[in-house]
Amino acid sequence: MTCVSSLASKIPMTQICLSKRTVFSAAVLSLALMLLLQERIFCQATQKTSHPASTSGAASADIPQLVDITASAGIHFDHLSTPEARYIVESMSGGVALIDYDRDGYPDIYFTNAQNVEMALAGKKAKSALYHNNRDGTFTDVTDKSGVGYPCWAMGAAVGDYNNDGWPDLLVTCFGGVVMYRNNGDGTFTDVTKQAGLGGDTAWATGASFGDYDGDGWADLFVAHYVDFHLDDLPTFGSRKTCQYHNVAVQCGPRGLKGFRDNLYHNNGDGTFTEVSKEAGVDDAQGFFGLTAVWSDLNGDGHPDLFVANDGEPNYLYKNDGSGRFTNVAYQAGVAVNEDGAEQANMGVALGDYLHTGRFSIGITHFSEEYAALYRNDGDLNFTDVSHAAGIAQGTTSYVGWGDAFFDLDNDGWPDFFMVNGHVYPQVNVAGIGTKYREPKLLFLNEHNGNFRNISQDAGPAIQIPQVSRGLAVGDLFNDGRLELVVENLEGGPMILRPEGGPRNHWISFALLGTKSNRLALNARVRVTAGELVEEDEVRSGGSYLSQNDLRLHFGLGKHERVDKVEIFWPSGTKEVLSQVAPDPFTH
Amino acid sequence: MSVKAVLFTLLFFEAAALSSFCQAPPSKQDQINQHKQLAQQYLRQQRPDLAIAELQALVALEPENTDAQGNLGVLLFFRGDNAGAIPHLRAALKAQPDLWKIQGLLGLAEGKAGDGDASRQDLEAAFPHLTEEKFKAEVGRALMDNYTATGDLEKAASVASTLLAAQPTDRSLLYTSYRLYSDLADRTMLTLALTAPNSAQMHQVMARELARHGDEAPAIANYREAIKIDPKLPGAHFELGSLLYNSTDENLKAEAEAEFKAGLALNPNDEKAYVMLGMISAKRGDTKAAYDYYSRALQLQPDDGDAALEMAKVLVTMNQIEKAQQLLEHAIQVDPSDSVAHYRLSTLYRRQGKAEEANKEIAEYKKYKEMKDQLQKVFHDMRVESGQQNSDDADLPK
Repeated sequence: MTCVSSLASKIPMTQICLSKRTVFSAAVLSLALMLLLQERIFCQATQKTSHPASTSGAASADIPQLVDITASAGIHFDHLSTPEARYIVESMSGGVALIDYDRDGYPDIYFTNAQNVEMALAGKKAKSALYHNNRDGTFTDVTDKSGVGYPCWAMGAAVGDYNNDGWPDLLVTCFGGVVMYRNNGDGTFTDVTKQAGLGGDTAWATGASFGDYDGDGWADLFVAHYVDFHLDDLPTFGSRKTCQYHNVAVQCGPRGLKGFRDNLYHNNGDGTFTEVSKEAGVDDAQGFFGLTAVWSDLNGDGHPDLFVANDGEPNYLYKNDGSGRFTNVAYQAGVAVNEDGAEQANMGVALGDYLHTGRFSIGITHFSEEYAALYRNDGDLNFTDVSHAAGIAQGTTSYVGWGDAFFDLDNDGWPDFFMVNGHVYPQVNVAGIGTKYREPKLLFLNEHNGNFRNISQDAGPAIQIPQVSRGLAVGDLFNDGRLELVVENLEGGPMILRPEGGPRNHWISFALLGTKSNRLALNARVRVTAGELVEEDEVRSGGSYLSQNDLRLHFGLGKHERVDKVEIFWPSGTKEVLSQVAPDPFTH
Repeated sequence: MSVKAVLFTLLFFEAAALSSFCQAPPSKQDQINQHKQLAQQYLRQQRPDLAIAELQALVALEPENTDAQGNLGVLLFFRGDNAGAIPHLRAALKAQPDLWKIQGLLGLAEGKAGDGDASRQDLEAAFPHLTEEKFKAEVGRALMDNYTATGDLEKAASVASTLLAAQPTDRSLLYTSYRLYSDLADRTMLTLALTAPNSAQMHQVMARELARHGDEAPAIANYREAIKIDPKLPGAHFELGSLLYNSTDENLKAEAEAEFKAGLALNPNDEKAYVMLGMISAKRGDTKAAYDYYSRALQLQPDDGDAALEMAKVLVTMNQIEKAQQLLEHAIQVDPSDSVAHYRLSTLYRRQGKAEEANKEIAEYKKYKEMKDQLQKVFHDMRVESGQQNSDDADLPK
């Protein structure tokens, strides 16, 4: 059965069944194609009147301006932080997840929060927050009702439907394991960590990602772990050279500390998981400092592979052999280390088909004095570090990058690149090296030829406001064809950025629902053809940095008013094709 | 004691004549034979004091006996009687001038006896002819000490270089060599400071020293001053460019390009400057310019591994895999320990389905990378954490 529903703003999701096609292994739950001529329904950011002059000389009129709508959206969340960040565990939290927990067709937002060491030792907790999308441009804090306020010392979050009941569940990674929240379907969640068999993990969990690696229709779970860190055995601030930065005393780690192994949990299909890390070959025996994990079918063979970004250590690229076992091919593939053979402080991971090759390239954020890396996917698990050639690396070396994403800023059909920044050490301000604790965000425009142009100075003042950012999640919060960027900061409130202005392009968005495939259709791929535009994307859990993007797939269409063909490659192996999808912004 | 071990093997005697059975008072020849025999016997029994007495008696009877003179000199030398050893060693040498080991020992004895001039003369004469490694090293060290004492550092460095060629990993020699070249640099700098304190070269030297110690800003200032004094100062633009290029300050980094170009204006064949300009272009994303610069560098110096490696990177981004592979293979030929070249080559082999070759290159990459990492760790631990190790460990989580 194929169902199409409207995602138009201010209109509740309405499913309209087009036809019964029982041959399909799963269904397209919703599909919308809209003209981007929407009525503006959101308040302008306060910076509107202080629009900066373009420093690149580019015509800003053609570039959507990223406007801070946090206040008008009614988001009043504050992430706890300490002014000194004396311990590494106080610097790493700040994940954000977009989760349509009530299935009303509008993404809701979950912000993680974290106490500091002093609070933890005193038995105090930090409150994470769930904001319900009111579908009118505002949000309501529903944390208390939902029961997801105090999962743990929270790091990040990932979304997956582990029990295939159609209601997206929430996995929170913690300094101290993971917490699995089962979505009860009534606006509340239940902590099912122990009964799900995930209670054995007590280590410092960071990036998590759901993915059905064995194709049994149930979403499995991978959890990366960072440092083997214990509150009863704290390293002393500034005590050794690995606890100094440019001769300034700072927190210790991760160098000089021990890493911790990663975990892969197989979904048993009965609400429980079994750890299979070792037999699957992804147990990270060397205990690298894992930060971000994401499942993606990087070689297009129908089996999701696993990429794990390790901080200051070689990355893993686990090739899925289709029988439940993986082989780390990161070195051979050219993504373990950079083009100079050097390990980098790998933080956030973004995947995107920025070249329209049908292959997902990998963008990775790094520490300052390194560069944000772009590994071009050349096919068959061969990657080339084109960071400099593509224009991504330039201008990133001063910043410590975290959450990142490929997203279509102007709906021209070509994924652009966005990354959020913020140093680890508050003390960097006095190091006199030109790098500051609070840092601006960076935006790169896809120039349709493999190159990107840094337009950070041309997209409005909001992204130039220096912050200590960590998580980043992207999604069309208001179903109007504009992709919002939800940034969680380590220090203070988040920032929600909304593209305003720019070209009036068309777009299309898909929400997939698996029947034979896992219910959220994780790692299903969609290829959209509109004239000469052939775009491809994939439904993914986790990624960015400790964050979860909207699970719906969004494609800009430029000036194309018709989609010639939509091909859906389901994880079950079935291919589904829709033809001649016409734009119709408000009716179906 | 290496020299002793070596020189005991020098001791040689003609086969001792059989003792006479004659009852008459022993003849002179009989006495000579008897002393020879006893000397040999005592030496076999490792009783050098008794052997010395026999040899002394022997040379008294037969002063032209080169073997006896030489052996007596050797034994006296090892007993610490340098003054006693010297005349016997000289006598042996006078009779047979090509006894290079004896001359080396003589030089050592003279040095210990305080006769530096004679010592140098004998050590210099013997050193080039010595073949036994340990003894040559001993003589060489004495010669280096002699040169150093009189400030002849270049000559000392020359000896060190000869010794290192034979023993490239000898710790003691490595340190001596480091110390000599370091002293030479200091002396050169001092001379320059005394003779031309405000010269461009003096500023250039100061800039290098400051840069070596990580004092970036004053190093840059000195380079700039040097160039201001002499805009055509050889090497100054390249050195300044390299310093700027490696700066963590983006603004300074951006100034590197102009310096490399200025260097090229003075010396259009400055191959290294082309490589640096290629790297700057590549980082800017200007693939074509990078390609052109690297091409020029490789034209000037086809065996520059850095140029080959960087050019290969550009070619890979241009999807010219075959050319890139050839360059990487050449870079490895030039420097088999180039870990980066091994890594890049592995990825290219994999693309071509050459899994075995790819894995071999990865193994090589890891091997050399580990060696370099280990080296860095050694420097880091010794230079940065000296004296802090114990307290640092105490601060680490268990």
